[in-house]
Parts: sequence; C-alpha cells; structure tokens
Amino acid sequence: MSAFYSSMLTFAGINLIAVLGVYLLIGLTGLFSFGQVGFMAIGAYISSIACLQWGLPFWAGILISVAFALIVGLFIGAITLKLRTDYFALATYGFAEVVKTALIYFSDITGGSMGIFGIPTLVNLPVVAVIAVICIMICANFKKLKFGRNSLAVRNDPLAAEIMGINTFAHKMKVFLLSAALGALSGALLAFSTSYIEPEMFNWSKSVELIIIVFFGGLNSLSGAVFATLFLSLLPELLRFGSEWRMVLFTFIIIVTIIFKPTGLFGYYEIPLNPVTIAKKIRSYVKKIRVDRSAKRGERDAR
Amino acid sequence: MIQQFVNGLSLGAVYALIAVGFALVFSILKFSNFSHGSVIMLSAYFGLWLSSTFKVGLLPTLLASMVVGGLIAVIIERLGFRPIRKKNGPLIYFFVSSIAISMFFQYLMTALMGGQFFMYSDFMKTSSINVGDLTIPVLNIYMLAISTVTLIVLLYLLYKTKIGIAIRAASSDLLTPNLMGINTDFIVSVTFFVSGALAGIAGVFLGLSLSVYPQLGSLVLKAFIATVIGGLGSLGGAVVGAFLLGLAETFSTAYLGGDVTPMITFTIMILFLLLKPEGIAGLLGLGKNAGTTQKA
Repeated sequence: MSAFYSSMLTFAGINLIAVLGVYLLIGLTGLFSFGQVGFMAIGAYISSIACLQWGLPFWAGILISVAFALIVGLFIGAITLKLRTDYFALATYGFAEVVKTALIYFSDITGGSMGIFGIPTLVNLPVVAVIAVICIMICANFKKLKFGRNSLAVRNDPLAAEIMGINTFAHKMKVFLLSAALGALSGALLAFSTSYIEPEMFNWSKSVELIIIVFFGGLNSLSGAVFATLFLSLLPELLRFGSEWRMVLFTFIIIVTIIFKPTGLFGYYEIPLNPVTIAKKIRSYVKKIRVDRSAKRGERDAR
Repeated sequence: MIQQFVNGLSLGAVYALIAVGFALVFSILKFSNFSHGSVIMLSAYFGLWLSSTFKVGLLPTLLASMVVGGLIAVIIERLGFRPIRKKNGPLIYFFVSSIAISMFFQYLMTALMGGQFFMYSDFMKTSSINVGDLTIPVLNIYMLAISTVTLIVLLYLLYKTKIGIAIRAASSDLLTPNLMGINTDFIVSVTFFVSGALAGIAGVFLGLSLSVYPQLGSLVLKAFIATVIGGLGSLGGAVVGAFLLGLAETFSTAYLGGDVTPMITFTIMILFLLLKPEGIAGLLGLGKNAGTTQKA
C-alpha cells in the first residue's frame, strides 16, 4: 500500500474515533454538541505538551490528555447538560471557542497561533486501525446494553425516561464524558500522526463536519456512522477533486440527504457482525427463496 | 470612553439587524437558522459586486442588497426547509439542514472567489466627523441611523399591516392561522424575505466595516448570542441583546485586547443561560411585544 493511501486511511480512522463520540452524543442520546472539537484540541495539545515538554512517553501523554478531557468534560457538562437543545449547542460551541482562544492566549506553552511543531510521528495505520476497531466494538456493545437503551429513552422522551427510573442528568453526563474521552483520544492520535498542530485545525467547521457525517450515515445506525466516515473521508481523495470543490460537493450531498432521506443513508439498519446473526439471516433468506419457488411451482401445477 | 460607546452602539445596531432576522425565523419555525449567515455573506458579495461594477452610492447598494438578500432567503426556505416542513420532520432536521446550507455556501464562495479578503471601494470610508474631541467615522453614523430606521419600519410592518399581524399570529402557532384562512406557506416566505432583507443590509455594512470574505457568515453566531442574551424568540429582547453585545465587544476589545473578547462574550452568554435563561425579555416583560411565545 502506498504512503498516500495509508496516510489517508489513518486520517479516516482518526476521524472515525471522533465521529463515534459524536454518534454516542447526538445519535444515541440526542445531545446536540458543537464542543467535540474542543475536546479534540485538548487531546492534541495536552498529549503533545506532555510528550515534548514533560518528556513523557507518548502513550502516557495520550492517557493524561484523555484524563484531562474527562475533568474538563465533568465541569462543562455540569454547567450545560441541563440546558435545552439550542442553548446546549450554543454553550458547547462557546466552550470550543474558549478553548481555541485559550490556545492562542497562553502562547508560551501552546505556541500561540503558530502551533506546536516537531511532534514525533509515532502513530501509523495499524495503531489507528486497532484503536478504532476497539472503539467501534465498545460503542456497538453500548448500543445493545442497558446503557444504550437508556440513551435512546433519554433522547426520545426525557420525562418518560425519568419516570422509568433513569437519572437523565447522570446518564447524559456519562455519555458526555465518554464522547469527550473519544474526542481527546482522536485529537491526541491526530497530533502524533501529523507532527504539527495549530488552533486553526480545531475550528467550528470541524465540529460541523463530524455532526454532518453522523447525520449522513443515519442518526440511529452505528454502521451508518462508520460507513459515512470512511465514505466521506475517502471518496473525495479518490476522485481527486480540487480541494476547494471537495467540501462543496460534500455539503451538497448532506443537504440532499437530509431533505430526501432524513433518517440518513442507513436509517435503523445495522450491518450484522455476529456470526450467529449472519447465519440466521442467510438461513431465513434461503428459506424465503424456497418458499417463493414452491409457491410458483404450486401456481404452475394449479394451471 | 464616549468614543468607544458610539462605536459599540453602531456595531450593536448591525448586530441588531442580524439578530432580529434570526429571531423572526426562530419565532415562527422554532429553530435556530444558521443559514442566515450565508444570506449575510452572499449579499455582502452582491453589494461589493454592484458598487464596484456600477459605481453606485451606498443607498442604492443597500436597497438592492436588501432585495437580493430577501430573495436568497426565500430560495433557501423553498429548497432547504419547506420539504422538511411538509414531511413534519423534527426540529433537529431544520437545524442540521441550516448548518449544512451555511457550510455549503461558505465552501462554494471559497471555491469560486478564493479565500481572499475583498474591500469595498471607499466611497465613504475615509471621511469622519469631529464632535468636540470625538472622531466619529461617517460609516458608523450611517450604520446606526439606517439600522434604527429599518428596525422602526419593521416594527410598523409587524404591528400595523395585515401581513405583520399574520406573521405574529403564525409565530404563536403555525397551524391555527392556516385554519383561519391565512396562507401559512406565504407567511413563512414573507418572514424569510424580511429576515433576508435585514441580513442584506447587515451584510453590506459588515462588508464595509470589516471586509468581504467567505467566513463572513459565521457572524450569525453573534446574532445567536444576542438572541440568547435577549431571550430566544423575542424581537425586542434581540435588539437589546444585540446592542449590549456590541457594547461589550467594543469595550473588551478596547481595554482587554481582541484575543480575550470571545471569552468575555461567551462568559456573559453562559451566565445568562444559567441564571436567566429567558433573557432580558424575561426581565423586562418584552416577550409579548412580538407576539411570540415564551415556551421557546
């Protein structure tokens, strides 16, 4: 595999980890956050500062950055999670902006708007692939377990969920922290694969991109989120558009999807990965074909 | 000090134009319309093109941009929001659609025009008036005066005309006016036209005072903040909130530096969200002015 494709796939994988966080938050729990990019920035900066300035190994830097994101997430979540959708979106956007401002302001640690150079490129495709697969498995299990069902309940009707004994605030907080951790992880991996970070990389448009990917794949489908990330990250590269027209096409596809198929590409469908379910599906499909055939034969005989 | 106050007022006046358009759409369709930003950006480009090609003055440019802004907003509503409305889609789809539309236009203009900054030819930029020891740019006076006049005209439109009454009726409930023989599709179009026209004026002013670039549309977030401070969905609150925001930004840029300004504004906003979520409108009882519900 050429270096070009492997670096492309690496970025797709890093994007995927961040998208999973957004999927848990927006798709499963209905918390519309613009703050994901703030956690990505925290992950990228804390891990590379830990590595370059404190001389820690990079995995320790990543762990520290995730822990830091969790603490920040606890604080931000405590303030914002009781607000209604629009306010929550705006408040989390404000959080991301404040993070960006802080990165520019504390320039003696963060390098200001110049960013941080010379981060060792320790993360390559296999590392990202393994981490991404682990994250996908975690999220897939969350969807099936009580945790995911509680999330859906909170999304569809918070009041009813509260009556059924779910502490909605605590549950939202859990999801928020999980997505913050995923965001920080993805940011840290980004820092160790590009070797260069600057505040401009963590813009509002990055958050929007993540949200749009989740909507494109389908709010209710994890497979959709994974597919949409890979599709939308790889397609423009493969088609070799001029870089400026790529995002035009990208956003146009999204608008068309939302208008004509608002449940997203996958709707509620999940690609089955469990061998037992796959076998069952195949068996029922074969049975259906047989039934159809015998029905046809019956018709013919009757004639 | 007074100098900063005047600058803050004129910035606030432009924010008020954006915020009122934003709040108008919010009061009827109950979603935060981010595509408002792309109307601002597109009409800034249009005003630039018009004034540089035909060498017309400020007022004709403003009027033409108003019309064009309104038409753009109507087209966006037709193509981007009406299909969702007809399917009774949840509010979140409107929200995402508006974000996607604003990103689409931002990238489209980046692709077409390049990311560079365009300046309006200075047909009035250089001049300024001296009052005592104050130096007030003429542009600021125009911004303040024209914005105020436009807002007063809007107020007249909303309270004294049949269409205005229909808009206010639709803002408390979109279904009932339909039963009363009001064409709600038409009312929604008119609302978008009015909000787009306001955005058109604001776009030209922002283009004059800053410059014209594809990310100009992100200034719609200031309107969002202003409407939160003012109380989401209330027009009077939005105006007050916009002026407060303009003043706060100008003063914090002047005394604390431009880097810290976003932090200050967002802190103010978060404080409002936590302590007074119904905004200034809730404090002053302005909410009923525009006939909007406080449910929002």
